[in-house]
Amino acid sequence: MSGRQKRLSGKWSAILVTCLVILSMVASCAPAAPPKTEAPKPAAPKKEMVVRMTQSWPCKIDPAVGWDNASSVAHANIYDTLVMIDVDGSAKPWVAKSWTYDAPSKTYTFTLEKGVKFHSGNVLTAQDVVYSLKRMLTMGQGWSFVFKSVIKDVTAPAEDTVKIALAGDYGPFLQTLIHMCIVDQKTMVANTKKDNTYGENGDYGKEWLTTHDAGSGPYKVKEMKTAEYLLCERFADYWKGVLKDSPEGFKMIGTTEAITVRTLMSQKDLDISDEWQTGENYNQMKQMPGVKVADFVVGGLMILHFNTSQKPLDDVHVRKALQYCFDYASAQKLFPGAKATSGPVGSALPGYNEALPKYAQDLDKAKRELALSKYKDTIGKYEVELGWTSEVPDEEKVALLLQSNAQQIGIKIKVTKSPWLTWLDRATKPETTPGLLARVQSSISFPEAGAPLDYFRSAGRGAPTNCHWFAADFQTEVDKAVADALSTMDAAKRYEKYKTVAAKLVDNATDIWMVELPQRQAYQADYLSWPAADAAIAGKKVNVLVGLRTYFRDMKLDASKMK
Amino acid sequence: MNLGQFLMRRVLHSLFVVVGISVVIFVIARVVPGDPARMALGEHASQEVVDKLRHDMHLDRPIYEQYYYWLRGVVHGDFGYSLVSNRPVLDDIVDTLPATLEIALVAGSIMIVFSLIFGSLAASYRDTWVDGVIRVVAYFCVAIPGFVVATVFVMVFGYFWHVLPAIGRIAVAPPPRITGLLVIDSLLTGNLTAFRDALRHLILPSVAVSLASTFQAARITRSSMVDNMNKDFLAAERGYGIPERRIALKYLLKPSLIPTVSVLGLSLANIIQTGFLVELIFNWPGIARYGLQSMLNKDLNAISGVIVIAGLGFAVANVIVDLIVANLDPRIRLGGVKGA
Repeated sequence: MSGRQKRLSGKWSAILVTCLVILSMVASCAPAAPPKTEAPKPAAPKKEMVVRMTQSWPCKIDPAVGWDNASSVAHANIYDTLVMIDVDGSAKPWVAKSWTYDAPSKTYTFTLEKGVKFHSGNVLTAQDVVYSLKRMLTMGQGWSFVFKSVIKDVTAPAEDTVKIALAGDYGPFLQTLIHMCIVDQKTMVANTKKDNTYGENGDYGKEWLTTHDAGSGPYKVKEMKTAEYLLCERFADYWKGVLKDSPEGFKMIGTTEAITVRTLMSQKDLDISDEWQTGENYNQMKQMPGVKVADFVVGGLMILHFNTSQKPLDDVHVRKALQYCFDYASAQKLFPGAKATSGPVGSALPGYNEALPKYAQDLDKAKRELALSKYKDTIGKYEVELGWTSEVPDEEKVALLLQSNAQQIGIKIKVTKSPWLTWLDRATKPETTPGLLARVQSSISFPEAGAPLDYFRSAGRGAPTNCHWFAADFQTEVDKAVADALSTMDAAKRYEKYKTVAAKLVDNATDIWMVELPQRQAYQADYLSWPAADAAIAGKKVNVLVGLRTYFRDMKLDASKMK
Repeated sequence: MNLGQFLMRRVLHSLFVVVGISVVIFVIARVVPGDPARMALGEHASQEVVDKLRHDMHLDRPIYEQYYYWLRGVVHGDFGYSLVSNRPVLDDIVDTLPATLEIALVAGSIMIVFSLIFGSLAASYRDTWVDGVIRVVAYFCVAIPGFVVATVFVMVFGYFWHVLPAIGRIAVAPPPRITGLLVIDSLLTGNLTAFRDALRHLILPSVAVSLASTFQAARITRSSMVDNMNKDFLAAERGYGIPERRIALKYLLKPSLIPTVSVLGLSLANIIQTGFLVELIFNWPGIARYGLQSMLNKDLNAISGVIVIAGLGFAVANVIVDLIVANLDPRIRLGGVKGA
């Protein structure tokens, strides 16, 4: 071959290679062409009957570690608990088929169902319950704070009997047991790392449980990619049986990116969205064929906490002035589905005080309150810092709204944005807590008004949930009132006490309760039957606990309508 | 100095750089406000539990002691535990690094091929409409951030057209793990369905990550080729009667590639830092996204681990770039460069 021929062949080779690269990329985009032969068609691949859901990440499937929404959904579906919570907030038998309470010894005795199997095949006994509770209390993470000062001891006198002795009377104790997931002790011990983290218990199986499960629930972990998704499959030997048409599995995908969620929804590659999307995104998804958006009214509130130790907010009249100057109606318009509030308790919670008036803007009343305060002549000297969390962009809207409203009555507000980590740090001391701190109250520890009221106790001080820094006498009053309510065993009497506590907090203007926020989720209503969502859309009561609302066993998938 | 000595010196320099980066990041991560123990355990965890975790992580020790414990662990291959995943950081890195490497491989291929093509075309047809079009497109692509490109891609190809997948690495059953790179593992196991699906998932994130760097390198290639076009050695070759096309592809392109190779090498290594937004949008489980989440959660061990890996990536990229440049520039290979 001559030099010229070699050069030409080299040139054409280069062009050919480049074209092949481009063609292969383009070709990979195209769907595969159907075969042209007359061969008999193979059976259509079986559709994956798996409910796909996006969620905020990380998801901690260890029931003694996770307590956020994503973790709660996973726990509710992978594990069982002694009791189940009904829609009205009452506890009903589950793994514990019955119980008694001995008032003098303050001891609950639970009798367990027989024949409940773990995913490993081991049978659930009382020892597993004792192990699970002790594990949770020792590790001190997740929902353990609910039990920490409540439970004195737990024993298993018989294979099907568990005794839990309380430190004192605690009315909502049964409801709190929804957070005590039962793990398989044998499996956990076999997978415990021998280190000194928890003494003779090693690491309590913490590392293993990051990517595995030791539950008995209707679903078991098939694959946990800690950076990506959680995939669970149905447990065929579930003690309550497998329901017809229930999903064969569920997949929680760790993303809340708006465009990603919207795209997946439109492609029918996502069945349920997370609850952290913006209003605009929900409106877009609502337009998609077959997609509905459910508003779950579950006691969620958007709140601005007052730091009552800081001038001029140490004066109740200044706080009331800010409460009355806030434009609640505009705030409701900012959040579709939002309702007016009347205090620290959401309307869906048993023990909610209906008698408290709903807040509305009243500038004249605000000015009258300001005129009664000791700062009436010097209010212009103070600048109140209002902090909002950068990970929750919706908080900025209400922060700017209050800043503008407060200007009308002469109160200066400086809005600052910081990551959640910074507020977590700053809320630990009164001198570093901002004058106002925005917070979205979305998850509660038990389905009663006592849950949000419990945050006001001094034991919880120094966290964003309680950064009020009340004066000592008022704090003592609140502690006494909340403790009294929580220790009331009779539910009706307890609820009445909750109402009194709420009225006391409202009277003291401890916060600006801006709006009651529903938790919104979009879902593919044309092929997914989701009882909780259907109830929400019909205006009926729903379970306030996110894990039980997203109980996949109760859902149904219509394969004929799926993609 | 010969090539071997030159490379040895570069490797030693790189080691110092990585150690230096680790010190800086270690200190910064610890002085930034926020208690990582409290963040990991939640606001309701008791103070005793928080204090125990702080003690276990040596956070109650002076910072130089903390660095000593951490360095001792790293030397033994132990990057510590992640407060977020509750697993060894090394396990998280092993899980997430291949995903980013896969994007880097495909993005790198795109960058190399298309930067050379567009750069050569722009130089060959300089001051014509071809050059003008490439220049305008380059300005747009360099100016638009990668995450904007990623968002537009998801909207156009995922939302409106439904042509390409919007998230994840693979939709079918993945091949058995050999390297962790799905495209390579599926080829090695002969699973063409998985190969095709993995490649489809790679297209959008790789193009989003590589677009700006591709056109930046194309512009540099063009400038370098234009600079070299009027050099004496090319005039001599023209005088010998060597065709212009051969001069362009063989004698002009090669020496013009030196700045392009440097830029491309750094761009590739930079994917770990800058790719996190793209990985976030595509829910790509790569190390860049892992690093971002570690920083947001103040997961100290994970932050340090990711930074060390990123530093090593830069160091390796620099050494490879130096090797290639030595190959392109005979003066380096023949030991004619002092102190380079």
